[in-house]
Amino acid sequence: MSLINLWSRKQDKQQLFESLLAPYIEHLYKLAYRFRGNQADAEDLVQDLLIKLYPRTQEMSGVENLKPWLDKILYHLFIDQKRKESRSPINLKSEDLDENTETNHPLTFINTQSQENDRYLEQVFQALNELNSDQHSLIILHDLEGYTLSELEQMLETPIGTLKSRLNRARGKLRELLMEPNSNSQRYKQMRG
Amino acid sequence: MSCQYVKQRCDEYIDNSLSEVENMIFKEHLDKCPTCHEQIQQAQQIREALHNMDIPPMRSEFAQQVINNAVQHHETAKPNLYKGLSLALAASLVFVAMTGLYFNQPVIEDSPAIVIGLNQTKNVKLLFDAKDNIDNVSISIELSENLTLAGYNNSKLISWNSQLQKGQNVLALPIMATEFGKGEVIARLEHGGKNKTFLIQINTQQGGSTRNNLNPDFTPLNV
Ligand SMILES: [Zn+2]
Repeated sequence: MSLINLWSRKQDKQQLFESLLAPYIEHLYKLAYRFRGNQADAEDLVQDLLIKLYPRTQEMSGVENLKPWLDKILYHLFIDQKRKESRSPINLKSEDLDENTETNHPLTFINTQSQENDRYLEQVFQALNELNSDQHSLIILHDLEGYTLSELEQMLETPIGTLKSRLNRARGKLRELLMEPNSNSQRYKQMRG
Repeated sequence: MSCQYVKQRCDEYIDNSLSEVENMIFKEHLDKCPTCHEQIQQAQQIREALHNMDIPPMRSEFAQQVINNAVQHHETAKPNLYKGLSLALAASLVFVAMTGLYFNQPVIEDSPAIVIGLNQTKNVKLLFDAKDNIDNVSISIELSENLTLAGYNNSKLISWNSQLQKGQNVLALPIMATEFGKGEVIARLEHGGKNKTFLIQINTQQGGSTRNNLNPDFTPLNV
């Protein structure tokens, strides 16, 4: 005997939720990975985001361009997480946790022909993590995701002047961290010609 | 142009957001000034390196998992009113069987009247007997003024698409009586231009029926 499902708003909502978000999960995972730097934390961040979004399904269906809308909420969630973590007395970084595991290496890189090259990219990644989370996420959203500063002004609810100086400090700090004489940066440059 | 100016505007240069003229002046300075040239080059190099960082691919099952978890988080965390309701009703189920669903001609089927107490809800189960699997059946349920479907916001007509499996298919309707009187529920199935209509008479009674004399529970309807 089979059961016919009675029409339900709940089902409609679930379907709507899934159809709205399914196209963006991979993008959100990648962005979350860039924010968090490892797979487990990236997945957690996306999970938290979707839990927050489900009650807003109806609202989402009216959003014209969903990608920046989602990126914005993901960003704020990431910043919240970082704040909570920094307030927490026990501050475990995930790299401390899985130090001895195979998955320790947070990133794999394209251009693996050269180990030197890899090392430089790894340094860049580490330097990125030394920025504060505001600077870090600005570099990701602006330099990697390609949002212009005026788009980010809306998205991050921060005046453009503040964003400009934040970007300047972030890039400056990255240069500083990567610029020691005779560093890999020099060799990377030589290699790339 | 001074080195100080280059420092101030280097982000815009890297972002390619300087005007054409500014860009030209900027480049002129870079050609003459090795310090600024070096700095800009480093910045561009870092930007390039950022783009070269790869990310381990998403687990293939992650997308579905993360969506399902979010739905479950909300749909199972709250006490489920509807579930509680059907448990309370377990003792007063009424089955109406509708056999031989052939979709040949419009036919109206009558069932013996069902009695529901005022402001009580009874789970009326409709039993459809299908000869074959039928995809994409449009089902609509229409209620008379004195009846409502519990949990459906007093909608008098709901319709949706579903499918029937070969054999018996059960549709449970939590019908609530809101006023006295004779009422009816019309269930209509439509498929490929053919349809069949079922009429279930429901009478509302004072005091409600704590009927355990539903014997047999299951009232087959002959076609
Ligand atoms: Zn200069």
